[in-house]
Amino acid sequence: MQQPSNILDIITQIMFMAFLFMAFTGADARLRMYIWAKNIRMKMEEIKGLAEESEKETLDVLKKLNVKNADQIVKRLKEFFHINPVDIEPTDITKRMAHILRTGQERWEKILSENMPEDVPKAQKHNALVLAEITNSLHTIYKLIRHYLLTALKTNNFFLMMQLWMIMPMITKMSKTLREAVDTFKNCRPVGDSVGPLVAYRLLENKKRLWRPAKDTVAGEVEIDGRRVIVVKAEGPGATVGNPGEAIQKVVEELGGNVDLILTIDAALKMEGEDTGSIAEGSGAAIGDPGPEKIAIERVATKYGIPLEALVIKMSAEEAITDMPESVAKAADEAVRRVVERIKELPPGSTAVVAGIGNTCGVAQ
Amino acid sequence: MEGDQMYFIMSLAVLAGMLSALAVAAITMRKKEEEPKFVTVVKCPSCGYEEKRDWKEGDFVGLVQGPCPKCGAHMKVWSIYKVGGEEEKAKEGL
Repeated sequence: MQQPSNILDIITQIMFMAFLFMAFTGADARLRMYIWAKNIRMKMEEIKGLAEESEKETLDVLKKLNVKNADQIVKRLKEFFHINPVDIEPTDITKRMAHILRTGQERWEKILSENMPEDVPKAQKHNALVLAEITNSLHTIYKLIRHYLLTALKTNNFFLMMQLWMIMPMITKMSKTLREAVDTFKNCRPVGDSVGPLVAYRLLENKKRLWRPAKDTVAGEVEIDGRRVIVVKAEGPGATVGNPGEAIQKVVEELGGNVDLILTIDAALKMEGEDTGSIAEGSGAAIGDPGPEKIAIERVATKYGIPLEALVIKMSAEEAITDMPESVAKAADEAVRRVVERIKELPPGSTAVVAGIGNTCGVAQ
Repeated sequence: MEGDQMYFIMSLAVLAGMLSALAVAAITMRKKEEEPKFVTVVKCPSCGYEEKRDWKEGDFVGLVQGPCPKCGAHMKVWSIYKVGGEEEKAKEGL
Protein backbone atom coordinates (compact mmCIF):
# COMPACT_ATOMS: atom_id res chain seq x y z
CA MET A 1 0.00 0.00 0.00
CA GLN A 2 1.25 3.51 -0.91
CA GLN A 3 2.20 5.90 1.88
CA PRO A 4 0.01 9.04 2.05
CA SER A 5 3.04 11.30 1.62
CA ASN A 6 3.86 9.59 -1.71
CA ILE A 7 0.31 10.11 -2.93
CA LEU A 8 0.53 13.79 -2.02
CA ASP A 9 3.81 14.08 -3.93
CA ILE A 10 2.21 12.59 -7.01
CA ILE A 11 -0.79 14.92 -6.74
CA THR A 12 1.49 17.95 -6.34
CA GLN A 13 3.51 16.93 -9.39
CA ILE A 14 0.41 16.38 -11.50
CA MET A 15 -0.90 19.78 -10.44
CA PHE A 16 2.41 21.41 -11.30
CA MET A 17 2.44 19.76 -14.73
CA ALA A 18 -1.16 20.80 -15.32
CA PHE A 19 -0.28 24.37 -14.35
CA LEU A 20 2.64 24.42 -16.79
CA PHE A 21 0.51 22.91 -19.54
CA MET A 22 -2.24 25.46 -19.05
CA ALA A 23 0.13 28.43 -18.75
CA PHE A 24 1.99 27.63 -21.99
CA THR A 25 -0.93 26.51 -24.18
CA GLY A 26 -3.48 29.15 -23.14
CA ALA A 27 -5.88 26.43 -22.02
CA ASP A 28 -6.56 28.31 -18.78
CA ALA A 29 -7.94 31.28 -20.73
CA ARG A 30 -10.15 28.99 -22.77
CA LEU A 31 -11.39 27.25 -19.65
CA ARG A 32 -12.14 30.61 -18.04
CA MET A 33 -13.95 31.77 -21.20
CA TYR A 34 -16.03 28.61 -21.09
CA ILE A 35 -16.95 29.14 -17.42
CA TRP A 36 -17.78 32.84 -17.99
CA ALA A 37 -19.87 32.05 -21.08
CA LYS A 38 -21.81 29.44 -19.13
CA ASN A 39 -22.40 31.90 -16.31
CA ILE A 40 -23.50 34.70 -18.69
CA ARG A 41 -25.78 32.32 -20.59
CA MET A 42 -27.44 31.25 -17.35
CA LYS A 43 -28.15 34.87 -16.34
CA MET A 44 -29.19 35.76 -19.88
CA GLU A 45 -31.81 33.01 -19.82
CA GLU A 46 -33.08 34.46 -16.55
CA ILE A 47 -33.42 37.90 -18.20
CA LYS A 48 -35.14 36.29 -21.19
CA GLY A 49 -37.65 34.77 -18.77
CA LEU A 50 -38.25 38.19 -17.18
CA ALA A 51 -38.76 39.77 -20.62
CA GLU A 52 -41.25 37.05 -21.56
CA GLU A 53 -43.14 37.49 -18.28
CA SER A 54 -43.30 41.24 -18.84
CA GLU A 55 -44.55 40.70 -22.39
CA LYS A 56 -47.26 38.37 -21.12
CA GLU A 57 -48.37 40.84 -18.44
CA THR A 58 -48.52 43.65 -21.02
CA LEU A 59 -50.53 41.45 -23.34
CA ASP A 60 -52.96 40.56 -20.53
CA VAL A 61 -53.48 44.24 -19.70
CA LEU A 62 -54.09 45.13 -23.36
CA LYS A 63 -56.53 42.25 -23.77
CA LYS A 64 -58.35 43.34 -20.62
CA LEU A 65 -58.74 46.80 -22.19
CA ASN A 66 -60.22 45.12 -25.31
CA VAL A 67 -57.36 46.23 -27.54
CA LYS A 68 -57.59 44.72 -31.03
CA ASN A 69 -54.54 42.83 -32.37
CA ALA A 70 -52.89 43.01 -28.92
CA ASP A 71 -50.30 40.35 -29.84
CA GLN A 72 -49.17 42.21 -32.92
CA ILE A 73 -49.04 45.54 -31.09
CA VAL A 74 -46.81 44.15 -28.33
CA LYS A 75 -44.55 42.54 -30.94
CA ARG A 76 -44.25 45.86 -32.78
CA LEU A 77 -43.67 48.00 -29.72
CA LYS A 78 -41.05 45.73 -28.16
CA GLU A 79 -38.84 46.23 -31.22
CA PHE A 80 -39.37 50.02 -31.35
CA PHE A 81 -36.23 52.18 -31.21
CA HIS A 82 -35.11 55.81 -31.20
CA ILE A 83 -32.18 57.12 -33.21
CA ASN A 84 -30.15 59.80 -31.44
CA PRO A 85 -29.84 63.13 -33.24
CA VAL A 86 -26.53 64.07 -34.91
CA ASP A 87 -24.20 65.40 -32.20
CA ILE A 88 -21.19 66.49 -34.26
CA GLU A 89 -23.36 69.50 -35.18
CA PRO A 90 -24.79 70.56 -31.81
CA THR A 91 -26.93 73.46 -33.05
CA ASP A 92 -30.52 72.86 -31.95
CA ILE A 93 -29.70 69.35 -30.72
CA THR A 94 -32.22 69.50 -27.87
CA LYS A 95 -34.96 70.70 -30.23
CA ARG A 96 -34.17 67.84 -32.58
CA MET A 97 -34.05 65.39 -29.68
CA ALA A 98 -37.40 66.65 -28.35
CA HIS A 99 -38.85 66.22 -31.83
CA ILE A 100 -37.55 62.66 -32.14
CA LEU A 101 -38.77 61.67 -28.65
CA ARG A 102 -42.18 63.25 -29.24
CA THR A 103 -42.49 61.54 -32.61
CA GLY A 104 -41.83 58.20 -30.90
CA GLN A 105 -44.32 58.91 -28.13
CA GLU A 106 -47.02 59.99 -30.56
CA ARG A 107 -46.42 56.91 -32.68
CA TRP A 108 -46.88 54.62 -29.64
CA GLU A 109 -50.03 56.47 -28.61
CA LYS A 110 -51.42 56.31 -32.15
CA ILE A 111 -50.77 52.57 -32.49
CA LEU A 112 -52.57 51.97 -29.19
CA SER A 113 -55.42 54.46 -29.70
CA GLU A 114 -56.30 53.10 -33.13
CA ASN A 115 -56.88 49.66 -31.67
CA MET A 116 -58.37 50.64 -28.33
CA PRO A 117 -62.04 51.34 -27.54
CA GLU A 118 -62.65 55.09 -27.17
CA ASP A 119 -64.06 54.83 -23.65
CA VAL A 120 -60.79 53.60 -22.09
CA PRO A 121 -59.70 56.17 -19.46
CA LYS A 122 -56.51 58.13 -20.17
CA ALA A 123 -54.87 56.79 -17.00
CA GLN A 124 -55.25 53.16 -18.11
CA LYS A 125 -53.93 54.03 -21.55
CA HIS A 126 -50.85 55.62 -19.99
CA ASN A 127 -50.29 52.58 -17.75
CA ALA A 128 -50.51 50.25 -20.77
CA LEU A 129 -47.95 52.41 -22.61
CA VAL A 130 -45.52 52.24 -19.68
CA LEU A 131 -45.90 48.45 -19.52
CA ALA A 132 -45.08 48.26 -23.22
CA GLU A 133 -42.03 50.48 -22.59
CA ILE A 134 -40.78 48.15 -19.85
CA THR A 135 -41.25 45.15 -22.15
CA ASN A 136 -39.30 47.03 -24.81
CA SER A 137 -36.47 47.73 -22.33
CA LEU A 138 -36.22 44.13 -21.07
CA HIS A 139 -36.33 42.79 -24.61
CA THR A 140 -33.56 45.21 -25.66
CA ILE A 141 -31.38 44.24 -22.67
CA TYR A 142 -31.77 40.56 -23.54
CA LYS A 143 -30.92 41.13 -27.20
CA LEU A 144 -27.86 43.24 -26.32
CA ILE A 145 -26.44 40.63 -23.96
CA ARG A 146 -27.05 37.88 -26.50
CA HIS A 147 -25.33 39.98 -29.15
CA TYR A 148 -22.21 40.61 -27.06
CA LEU A 149 -22.02 37.02 -25.82
CA LEU A 150 -22.23 35.59 -29.32
CA THR A 151 -19.73 38.18 -30.61
CA ALA A 152 -17.28 37.30 -27.83
CA LEU A 153 -17.62 33.59 -28.57
CA LYS A 154 -17.36 34.08 -32.31
CA THR A 155 -14.21 36.21 -32.11
CA ASN A 156 -12.74 34.49 -29.04
CA ASN A 157 -12.66 37.92 -27.38
CA PHE A 158 -11.45 37.29 -23.84
CA PHE A 159 -11.84 40.91 -22.72
CA LEU A 160 -15.34 41.38 -24.11
CA MET A 161 -16.41 38.19 -22.33
CA MET A 162 -14.75 39.30 -19.09
CA GLN A 163 -16.44 42.71 -19.16
CA LEU A 164 -19.81 41.15 -19.87
CA TRP A 165 -19.35 38.63 -17.05
CA MET A 166 -18.38 41.41 -14.65
CA ILE A 167 -21.41 43.61 -15.36
CA MET A 168 -23.91 40.76 -15.51
CA PRO A 169 -24.89 40.94 -11.79
CA MET A 170 -25.80 44.64 -12.20
CA ILE A 171 -27.73 44.02 -15.40
CA THR A 172 -29.60 41.10 -13.84
CA LYS A 173 -30.50 43.22 -10.81
CA MET A 174 -31.79 46.06 -13.01
CA SER A 175 -33.79 43.57 -15.11
CA LYS A 176 -35.39 42.09 -11.98
CA THR A 177 -36.30 45.61 -10.85
CA LEU A 178 -37.89 46.32 -14.23
CA ARG A 179 -39.90 43.12 -13.91
CA GLU A 180 -41.00 44.17 -10.42
CA ALA A 181 -42.01 47.57 -11.83
CA VAL A 182 -44.47 45.81 -14.15
CA ASP A 183 -46.60 44.81 -11.12
CA THR A 184 -46.45 48.34 -9.69
CA PHE A 185 -47.48 50.08 -12.93
CA LYS A 186 -50.10 47.43 -13.70
CA ASN A 187 -51.78 48.19 -10.37
CA CYS A 188 -51.17 51.95 -10.72
CA ARG A 189 -49.45 52.31 -7.34
CA PRO A 190 -47.06 55.25 -6.82
CA VAL A 191 -43.39 54.53 -7.51
CA GLY A 192 -40.46 56.19 -5.74
CA ASP A 193 -40.16 58.64 -8.64
CA SER A 194 -43.75 59.77 -7.93
CA VAL A 195 -42.57 61.71 -4.90
CA GLY A 196 -42.27 64.96 -6.91
CA PRO A 197 -45.89 64.78 -8.15
CA LEU A 198 -46.94 63.70 -4.62
CA VAL A 199 -45.47 66.91 -3.16
CA ALA A 200 -47.18 68.90 -5.94
CA TYR A 201 -50.50 67.17 -5.18
CA ARG A 202 -50.28 68.19 -1.54
CA LEU A 203 -49.48 71.78 -2.48
CA LEU A 204 -52.47 71.77 -4.84
CA GLU A 205 -54.86 70.73 -2.05
CA ASN A 206 -56.44 74.22 -1.90
CA LYS A 207 -56.06 75.20 -5.56
CA LYS A 208 -58.05 78.10 -6.99
CA ARG A 209 -57.94 76.86 -10.58
CA LEU A 210 -56.37 74.11 -12.66
CA TRP A 211 -55.37 74.18 -16.34
CA ARG A 212 -53.26 72.26 -18.90
CA PRO A 213 -50.25 74.29 -20.09
CA ALA A 214 -48.74 71.33 -21.99
CA LYS A 215 -49.67 67.82 -23.08
CA ASP A 216 -50.29 65.47 -20.13
CA THR A 217 -49.26 68.23 -17.72
CA VAL A 218 -51.37 70.32 -15.34
CA ALA A 219 -50.79 73.57 -13.51
CA GLY A 220 -52.73 74.87 -10.52
CA GLU A 221 -52.72 78.15 -8.68
CA VAL A 222 -52.55 78.32 -4.89
CA GLU A 223 -51.85 81.07 -2.41
CA ILE A 224 -49.37 80.61 0.42
CA ASP A 225 -49.29 83.44 2.95
CA GLY A 226 -49.92 86.17 0.36
CA ARG A 227 -47.57 84.68 -2.25
CA ARG A 228 -48.91 83.38 -5.56
CA VAL A 229 -47.69 79.86 -6.34
CA ILE A 230 -48.19 78.06 -9.65
CA VAL A 231 -47.75 74.34 -9.11
CA VAL A 232 -46.91 72.17 -12.14
CA LYS A 233 -47.10 68.38 -12.32
CA ALA A 234 -47.81 65.56 -14.78
CA GLU A 235 -51.50 64.72 -15.18
CA GLY A 236 -52.34 61.72 -13.03
CA PRO A 237 -53.21 59.22 -11.83
CA GLY A 238 -51.99 57.38 -14.94
CA ALA A 239 -48.30 56.65 -15.40
CA THR A 240 -46.82 59.61 -17.24
CA VAL A 241 -44.07 62.18 -16.70
CA GLY A 242 -45.81 64.83 -18.82
CA ASN A 243 -43.90 67.74 -20.33
CA PRO A 244 -42.97 69.85 -17.28
CA GLY A 245 -40.25 71.82 -19.10
CA GLU A 246 -42.62 73.02 -21.78
CA ALA A 247 -45.31 73.70 -19.13
CA ILE A 248 -42.98 75.83 -16.96
CA GLN A 249 -41.80 77.74 -20.03
CA LYS A 250 -45.40 78.53 -21.04
CA VAL A 251 -46.43 79.51 -17.51
CA VAL A 252 -43.46 81.88 -17.13
CA GLU A 253 -44.00 83.38 -20.61
CA GLU A 254 -47.70 83.91 -19.84
CA LEU A 255 -46.68 85.79 -16.71
CA GLY A 256 -44.32 87.92 -18.79
CA GLY A 257 -41.35 86.63 -16.82
CA ASN A 258 -42.66 88.16 -13.59
CA VAL A 259 -41.70 85.13 -11.52
CA ASP A 260 -39.50 85.38 -8.43
CA LEU A 261 -38.58 81.74 -8.09
CA ILE A 262 -38.69 78.48 -10.01
CA LEU A 263 -38.42 75.48 -7.70
CA THR A 264 -38.21 71.93 -9.03
CA ILE A 265 -38.80 68.90 -6.78
CA ASP A 266 -37.70 65.49 -7.95
CA ALA A 267 -36.43 62.10 -6.87
CA ALA A 268 -32.63 61.85 -7.07
CA LEU A 269 -30.34 58.86 -7.12
CA LYS A 270 -28.70 58.45 -3.74
CA MET A 271 -25.07 57.55 -3.41
CA GLU A 272 -24.26 54.28 -1.67
CA GLY A 273 -24.33 54.90 2.07
CA GLU A 274 -26.96 57.66 1.91
CA ASP A 275 -30.38 57.14 3.46
CA THR A 276 -33.45 56.62 1.32
CA GLY A 277 -35.81 59.57 1.83
CA SER A 278 -33.13 62.06 2.81
CA ILE A 279 -33.71 65.52 1.36
CA ALA A 280 -31.20 67.94 -0.14
CA GLU A 281 -31.55 71.33 -1.77
CA GLY A 282 -29.50 72.97 -4.47
CA SER A 283 -29.57 75.15 -7.53
CA GLY A 284 -30.51 74.19 -11.09
CA ALA A 285 -33.33 72.17 -12.60
CA ALA A 286 -33.95 68.85 -10.88
CA ILE A 287 -35.23 66.76 -13.76
CA GLY A 288 -33.85 63.58 -15.23
CA ASP A 289 -35.04 63.73 -18.82
CA PRO A 290 -32.61 63.25 -21.74
CA GLY A 291 -32.38 67.05 -22.17
CA PRO A 292 -35.27 68.84 -23.88
CA GLU A 293 -37.41 69.45 -20.77
CA LYS A 294 -34.46 70.44 -18.59
CA ILE A 295 -33.10 72.91 -21.10
CA ALA A 296 -36.54 74.52 -21.49
CA ILE A 297 -36.57 75.29 -17.75
CA GLU A 298 -32.96 76.52 -17.78
CA ARG A 299 -33.58 78.75 -20.83
CA VAL A 300 -36.67 80.46 -19.47
CA ALA A 301 -35.07 80.96 -16.03
CA THR A 302 -31.97 82.47 -17.64
CA LYS A 303 -33.99 84.63 -20.06
CA TYR A 304 -35.80 86.41 -17.23
CA GLY A 305 -33.08 86.06 -14.57
CA ILE A 306 -35.31 83.95 -12.32
CA PRO A 307 -33.57 82.02 -9.49
CA LEU A 308 -33.71 78.31 -10.33
CA GLU A 309 -33.67 76.08 -7.24
CA ALA A 310 -34.05 72.36 -6.65
CA LEU A 311 -35.21 70.10 -3.85
CA VAL A 312 -34.44 66.40 -4.20
CA ILE A 313 -35.56 63.30 -2.30
CA LYS A 314 -32.95 60.59 -2.45
CA MET A 315 -33.48 56.94 -3.31
CA SER A 316 -31.84 54.10 -5.23
CA ALA A 317 -32.53 53.43 -8.91
CA GLU A 318 -34.53 50.35 -7.91
CA GLU A 319 -36.68 52.28 -5.45
CA ALA A 320 -37.34 54.97 -8.05
CA ILE A 321 -39.14 52.64 -10.46
CA THR A 322 -40.82 50.25 -8.04
CA ASP A 323 -43.36 50.75 -5.22
CA MET A 324 -42.73 53.87 -3.16
CA PRO A 325 -41.01 52.93 0.13
CA GLU A 326 -42.47 54.20 3.41
CA SER A 327 -39.44 56.43 4.04
CA VAL A 328 -39.98 58.24 0.71
CA ALA A 329 -43.72 58.73 1.39
CA LYS A 330 -42.81 60.25 4.74
CA ALA A 331 -40.14 62.45 3.15
CA ALA A 332 -42.87 64.00 0.97
CA ASP A 333 -44.36 65.66 4.10
CA GLU A 334 -40.99 67.13 5.00
CA ALA A 335 -40.46 68.29 1.40
CA VAL A 336 -43.84 70.10 1.45
CA ARG A 337 -42.83 71.81 4.71
CA ARG A 338 -39.54 72.94 3.16
CA VAL A 339 -41.24 74.26 0.01
CA VAL A 340 -43.73 76.28 2.09
CA GLU A 341 -40.85 77.62 4.19
CA ARG A 342 -38.96 78.67 1.04
CA ILE A 343 -42.05 80.36 -0.44
CA LYS A 344 -42.52 82.31 2.80
CA GLU A 345 -38.98 83.66 2.44
CA LEU A 346 -40.11 85.52 -0.71
CA PRO A 347 -41.58 89.02 -0.22
CA PRO A 348 -45.40 89.11 0.03
CA GLY A 349 -47.07 89.47 -3.38
CA SER A 350 -44.32 87.45 -5.10
CA THR A 351 -44.97 84.73 -7.65
CA ALA A 352 -43.26 81.33 -7.62
CA VAL A 353 -43.46 78.35 -9.94
CA VAL A 354 -43.10 75.01 -8.16
CA ALA A 355 -42.84 71.84 -10.25
CA GLY A 356 -43.23 68.29 -8.94
CA ILE A 357 -41.15 66.35 -11.46
CA GLY A 358 -41.45 62.60 -12.00
CA ASN A 359 -43.85 59.86 -12.98
CA THR A 360 -47.26 60.60 -11.56
CA CYS A 361 -48.37 56.94 -11.45
CA GLY A 362 -51.05 56.62 -8.76
CA VAL A 363 -51.07 60.33 -7.91
CA ALA A 364 -53.93 62.60 -9.07
CA GLN A 365 -54.11 66.40 -8.85
CA MET B 1 1.19 7.63 12.50
CA GLU B 2 2.12 10.81 10.63
CA GLY B 3 -0.27 9.85 7.82
CA ASP B 4 -3.11 9.21 10.26
CA GLN B 5 -2.63 12.66 11.71
CA MET B 6 -2.74 14.21 8.29
CA TYR B 7 -5.98 12.39 7.45
CA PHE B 8 -7.42 13.56 10.73
CA ILE B 9 -6.50 17.19 9.96
CA MET B 10 -7.89 16.88 6.43
CA SER B 11 -11.17 15.44 7.77
CA LEU B 12 -11.40 18.28 10.23
CA ALA B 13 -10.83 20.83 7.44
CA VAL B 14 -13.54 19.25 5.26
CA LEU B 15 -15.93 19.21 8.22
CA ALA B 16 -15.19 22.86 9.00
CA GLY B 17 -15.78 23.75 5.37
CA MET B 18 -19.13 21.95 5.32
CA LEU B 19 -20.23 23.65 8.53
CA SER B 20 -19.28 27.07 7.14
CA ALA B 21 -21.24 26.38 3.96
CA LEU B 22 -24.26 25.36 6.04
CA ALA B 23 -23.99 28.54 8.16
CA VAL B 24 -23.79 30.75 5.05
CA ALA B 25 -26.81 28.98 3.55
CA ALA B 26 -28.79 29.46 6.78
CA ILE B 27 -27.98 33.20 6.93
CA THR B 28 -28.88 33.68 3.26
CA MET B 29 -32.20 31.91 3.74
CA ARG B 30 -33.02 34.05 6.78
CA LYS B 31 -32.14 37.16 4.75
CA LYS B 32 -34.78 36.27 2.15
CA GLU B 33 -37.22 39.05 2.70
CA GLU B 34 -40.78 38.74 3.80
CA GLU B 35 -43.53 39.60 1.28
CA PRO B 36 -44.00 43.36 0.96
CA LYS B 37 -47.25 44.87 2.17
CA PHE B 38 -48.94 47.87 0.55
CA VAL B 39 -50.53 50.47 2.78
CA THR B 40 -53.07 53.16 1.88
CA VAL B 41 -53.26 56.19 4.17
CA VAL B 42 -56.63 57.93 4.13
CA LYS B 43 -56.77 61.44 5.59
CA CYS B 44 -59.42 64.05 6.27
CA PRO B 45 -58.36 67.37 4.67
CA SER B 46 -60.52 69.31 7.16
CA CYS B 47 -59.56 67.97 10.58
CA GLY B 48 -56.44 65.94 9.77
CA TYR B 49 -57.85 62.63 11.07
CA GLU B 50 -56.06 59.76 9.38
CA GLU B 51 -56.37 56.01 9.15
CA LYS B 52 -54.32 53.28 7.54
CA ARG B 53 -55.63 50.26 5.69
CA ASP B 54 -54.40 47.64 3.23
CA TRP B 55 -54.05 48.88 -0.34
CA LYS B 56 -56.84 47.74 -2.66
CA GLU B 57 -57.12 47.82 -6.44
CA GLY B 58 -58.29 51.19 -7.75
CA ASP B 59 -56.67 53.23 -4.95
CA PHE B 60 -54.72 56.33 -5.98
CA VAL B 61 -53.56 59.42 -4.14
CA GLY B 62 -56.38 61.96 -4.25
CA LEU B 63 -59.19 59.39 -4.47
CA VAL B 64 -62.22 60.65 -2.53
CA GLN B 65 -63.30 58.26 0.22
CA GLY B 66 -66.16 58.07 2.70
CA PRO B 67 -67.00 60.66 5.37
CA CYS B 68 -64.59 61.39 8.20
CA PRO B 69 -65.75 59.77 11.47
CA LYS B 70 -64.72 62.92 13.36
CA CYS B 71 -65.99 65.87 11.28
CA GLY B 72 -68.01 64.27 8.48
CA ALA B 73 -65.99 65.85 5.63
CA HIS B 74 -64.94 63.66 2.71
CA MET B 75 -61.67 61.87 3.33
CA LYS B 76 -59.06 61.41 0.60
CA VAL B 77 -56.27 58.93 -0.08
CA TRP B 78 -53.20 60.74 1.25
CA SER B 79 -50.43 58.30 0.34
CA ILE B 80 -49.75 54.75 -0.78
CA TYR B 81 -46.50 53.03 0.09
CA LYS B 82 -44.72 49.72 0.50
CA VAL B 83 -43.79 48.30 3.88
CA GLY B 84 -41.25 45.51 4.27
CA GLY B 85 -39.78 43.63 1.34
CA GLU B 86 -36.23 44.20 0.29
CA GLU B 87 -35.62 47.68 1.66
CA GLU B 88 -32.01 48.59 1.12
CA LYS B 89 -30.18 49.38 4.30
CA ALA B 90 -27.93 52.37 3.87
CA LYS B 91 -24.51 52.04 5.39
CA GLU B 92 -24.93 48.28 5.49
CA GLY B 93 -21.51 46.73 5.76
CA LEU B 94 -19.85 49.88 7.03
